Amino acid sequence: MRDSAESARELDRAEEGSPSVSLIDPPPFERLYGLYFGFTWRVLGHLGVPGSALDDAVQEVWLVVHQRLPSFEGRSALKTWLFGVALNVARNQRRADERRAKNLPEQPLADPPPDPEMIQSAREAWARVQRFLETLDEQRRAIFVCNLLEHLSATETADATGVDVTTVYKRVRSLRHSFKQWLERELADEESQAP
Amino acid sequence: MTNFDARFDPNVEMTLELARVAREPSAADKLRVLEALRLRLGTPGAPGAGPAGGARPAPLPPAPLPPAPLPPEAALHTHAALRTHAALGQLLLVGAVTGVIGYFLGSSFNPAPVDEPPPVSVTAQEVPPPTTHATSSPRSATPEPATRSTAEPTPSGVDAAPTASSNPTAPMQRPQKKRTSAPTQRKGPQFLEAVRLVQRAQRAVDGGEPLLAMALLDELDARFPRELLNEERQATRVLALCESGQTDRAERAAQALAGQNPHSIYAARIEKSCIGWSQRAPTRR
Repeated sequence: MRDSAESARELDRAEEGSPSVSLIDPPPFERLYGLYFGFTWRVLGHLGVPGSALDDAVQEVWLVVHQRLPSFEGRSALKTWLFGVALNVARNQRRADERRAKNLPEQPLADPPPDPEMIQSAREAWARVQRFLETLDEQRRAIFVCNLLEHLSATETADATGVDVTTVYKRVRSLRHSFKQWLERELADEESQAP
Repeated sequence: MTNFDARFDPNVEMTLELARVAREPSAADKLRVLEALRLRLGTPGAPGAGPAGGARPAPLPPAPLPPAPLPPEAALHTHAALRTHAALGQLLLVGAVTGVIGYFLGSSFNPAPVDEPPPVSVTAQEVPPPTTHATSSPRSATPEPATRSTAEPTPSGVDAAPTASSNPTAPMQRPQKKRTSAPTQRKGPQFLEAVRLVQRAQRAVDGGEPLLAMALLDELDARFPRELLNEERQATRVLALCESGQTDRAERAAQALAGQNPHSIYAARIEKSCIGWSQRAPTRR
């Protein structure tokens, strides 16, 4: 059993995204929650969980973490593991939404309006990224979120998404290029529409 | 060459970082979810069943970031003390976070290393797809030096009053294209850092932490030019002053804001605060 300082150092390395972290003694749940709540919240949102369902989805992630943490083998980075859990929750959520939409086509989930006071530039950037993400299939979306938005390495992205690392390299290069072109078009559009 | 351009395009990086900032949860979000988890997991003092089929999960501890115990007789001062304590803690946290952000933004927005081919090919069968319920941990990764540290900007868990989420997560509707105030490409890392600080100040106000909000705004004033996000800074200060009971100063700040931004998007919010908006802005509209 290692001391708490060693665990803390490992957790810190995990927080920095080092893929070589190996946690023999899993960190306490509450510490993990404190460090990674924001990560799971952002990831679920970027993976398309609507605002109205985000609370439930993030709870599901942390319930799974709470249940699985004692058996977490520490063979991968915590963030990679958490991303995988969030990815599964988002996928289940989307399937449930699709089933609900089939049964109740006229009652889509109401979403709260975006915070009107969110700083304009952040809101615009978020909306642009959101629109781009909606054009992607599930695998590309997950890679985009994992690597380009949350800065996990290619190996971690491969680990978290279940795609081999060579494909991740190709996908990221292609996604970055597509996003750049898409963004340029968007900005040009917006500029042309400005009075 | 095209890939190289795409990789280091500052506009792309700025947009991605801003989108990430916009997705950050508030401290109130964090506390709200934690409370719900406590109920679902059945913590001591909070009756509730454990998760269905759960093997033997340990009960959730009562608080993630417990504040220092305060004497019970100081009921009236408890909130203020907690807030001040939280304010200092959060300020330090913000300093650390912004320092880290400044560090990596200051260099070159160097993204995660993916644009170069991997040194060793890894076959698909070595990395299994994630299971539906995350029943197994992902496979171990080949060590690869991460070139970018991802500091998790976790808000402090000691914010008071869980307000309605300043929820940045609602999806935007595609058709509503609006005029942009300024294209993102004209902004730099300094702007991103200022955005983060203003958002934290706004969330501090929403979370009942006006002292923290004002400390953050003071930091902004000291570090960034006045023109940068001036409307947001002024409006947030008005609300923070109101929240802290400094009505006279709030009045003066609102007057200044109305003079410079008679059509401020914060008008409605300020109208509902301790001071009105309509009596100082209508003649300028």
